[in-house]
Amino acid sequence: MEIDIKEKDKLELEKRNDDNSMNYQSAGSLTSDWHFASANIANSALSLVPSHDGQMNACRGDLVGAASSSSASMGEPFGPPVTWDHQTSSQNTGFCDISLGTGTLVGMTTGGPVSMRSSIDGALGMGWNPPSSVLRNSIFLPNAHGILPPSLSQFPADPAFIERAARFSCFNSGNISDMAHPFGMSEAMGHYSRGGGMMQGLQEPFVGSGLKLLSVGQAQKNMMHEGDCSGEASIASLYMDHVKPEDSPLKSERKSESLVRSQDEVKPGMGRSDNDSDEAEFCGSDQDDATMLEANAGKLSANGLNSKKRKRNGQDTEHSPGKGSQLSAEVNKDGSEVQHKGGKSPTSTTNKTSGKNGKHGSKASDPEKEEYIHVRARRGQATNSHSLAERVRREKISERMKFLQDLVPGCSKVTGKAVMLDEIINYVQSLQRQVEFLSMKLATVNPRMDFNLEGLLAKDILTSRAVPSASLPFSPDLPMSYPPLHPSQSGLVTAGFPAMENHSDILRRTIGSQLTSISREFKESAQLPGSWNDELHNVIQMYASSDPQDSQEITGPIEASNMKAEP
Amino acid sequence: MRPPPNSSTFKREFVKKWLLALQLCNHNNNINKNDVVKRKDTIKLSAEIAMASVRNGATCWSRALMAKHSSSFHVTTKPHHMPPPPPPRHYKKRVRCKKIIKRSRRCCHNRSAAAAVVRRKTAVLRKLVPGGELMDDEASLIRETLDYVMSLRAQVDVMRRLARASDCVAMCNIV
Repeated sequence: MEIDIKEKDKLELEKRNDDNSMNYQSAGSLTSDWHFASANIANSALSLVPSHDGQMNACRGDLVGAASSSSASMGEPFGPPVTWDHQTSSQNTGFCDISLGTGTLVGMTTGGPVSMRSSIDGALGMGWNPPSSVLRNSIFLPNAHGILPPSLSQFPADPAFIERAARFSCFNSGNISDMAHPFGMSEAMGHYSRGGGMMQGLQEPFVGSGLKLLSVGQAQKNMMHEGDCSGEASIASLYMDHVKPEDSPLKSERKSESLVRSQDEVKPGMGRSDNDSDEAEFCGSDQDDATMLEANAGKLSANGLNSKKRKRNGQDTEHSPGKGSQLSAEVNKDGSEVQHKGGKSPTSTTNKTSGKNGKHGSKASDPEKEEYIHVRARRGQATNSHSLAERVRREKISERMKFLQDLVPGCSKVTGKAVMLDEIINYVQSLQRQVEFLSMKLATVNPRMDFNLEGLLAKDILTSRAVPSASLPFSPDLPMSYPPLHPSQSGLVTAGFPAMENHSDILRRTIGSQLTSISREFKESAQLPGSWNDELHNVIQMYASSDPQDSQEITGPIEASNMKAEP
Repeated sequence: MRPPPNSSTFKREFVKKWLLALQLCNHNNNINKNDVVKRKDTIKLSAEIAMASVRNGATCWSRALMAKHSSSFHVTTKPHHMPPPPPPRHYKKRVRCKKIIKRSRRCCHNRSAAAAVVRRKTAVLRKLVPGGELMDDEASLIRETLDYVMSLRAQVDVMRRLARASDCVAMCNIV
């Protein structure tokens, strides 16, 4: 499971983190640190990063600036996505914003390697949606350059880091055109980008985010040279579980060449990734659909595609032009159902064309794209245009129903449409009822608990405050403001771990710092019932207000309880 | 349509956005400290918005959800938090077109009762899935349902974990 893997990585990171000492050096010493930290790749990569900083034409140049404003960047997820040209990148942009913000904070403050890692990791690992990988890369690069250097030196050789970096590089397989640089990693990146990320084989000591950035640049260089965000999609998709390795950002004619290149690179590199079995297999099987970035339902669609009965492009006479165009439009929308599969070149981006009108398909890298869906009438079936179109429609529907069958539990046996629909309706209703019930349950939770939980979530997800690894004391202030809260804090810390997929380490640190800052803020204003937003606000502000002197130590019992609580 | 994201990545993004949405909601609306129902509604609303925004308009249901909540979601201080308003024009247009299509559909009768049953169920599903009314053909409806179900599952999972964590905390508090 991807979750397990991530947890493992985090745990690894945590372990590593504990051993590290935090000494942040100036940005100038970055290269030296990197040299120290890395084997071969990192060094060269590092040197290149600064040079490419300016080239980060990321659409988010402003983002970097925004990131420094911490809280502002936090809020961006909702906003900037809209403004992005790449519609799919919006999600990632928001993601980048958050990560940037957090990364900035981390870098600026006494963020330890863990915090950096978690922020970067969070940013990287947070399921980049396909389109935004490029943005992320660009964002990270400038960000890292300006901010990370101090903390980068801290990151020791860390397999988890390396893995993350590898993943990161996978994501960036191709979009940061300007990130070209003679990285030795380029090949590796190519491999990884193909193999989908879990590059545990990459044991070079990557120095945290910096490395990742470099690798990203490498990957970029390998793959597409376009600065658009199409790469992000591939990267994000690579990262995802069911990502299709071939989901490289091939939007234009480069797709084929990059695909081929990447595929070639990937094949030799496949063996290196440990966890890549899924992706590797996937990659291998879906070579044809390499460009299916926008493939519907991810793997599902891919499966559907492969299994779907091929509609051969036949005569147009069976279809009226209107129907054909409509169907083709439909097909474009679906992506996966495009009938170009029949013997089409692998680069035919069936999915890429999703949303594009079939008529405009020629402009895409899909010369074979046809405007009409040609369906061959099977033997004994009516050849009426209406019935054929109807058949196409029905087949599409049945294919989707199959997907839903997999999704909805208890629908494995093939049943009629009505029964299937029934099950689906029941499932959706039950899910909605569950949401209702759970939200009611959360509403009844003690607001203080609420706050902690939210803070916990926020801490874990958004960033882990830079806190010295060794220490996170529960400040004595806590009991003052929240007398009953103190025990609950430890309880929260301990209890939160099993509940959340968090690293106890990060949580420990974050909670510690969070609690102290919270207590500091709440001390005077006894806002015990405190509404969520105030508390949340404080949590967010905690991130914003880098608090270097927030060094606390984990009390012994808390540590012990944490250890116990860890799943 | 974009492929539905990986569930864990979706969850992480969802949590992040949920936090922000909660903040926003609490800023915009009055802080409801004691009204549990209102709080629940706020939670649910913010969760829905977050879930929809994670998909970021790539799917019809997410756009419909945003449209539905945009009215109750007044951006005051932080306009950049506002999720992109879904294309309302498109929404209305789809509704209008749907009327026409419905009228035309009524003309062609289904031959079998089973088909009628299917249509009835499809109508029910349409009501369930946000934005389902906008989709004229079953294929897209089912696709949207797929995506919506996955998002819902992730949302439920996140909320359940959160509730469980809070339970643990409460228990530890008691102990």
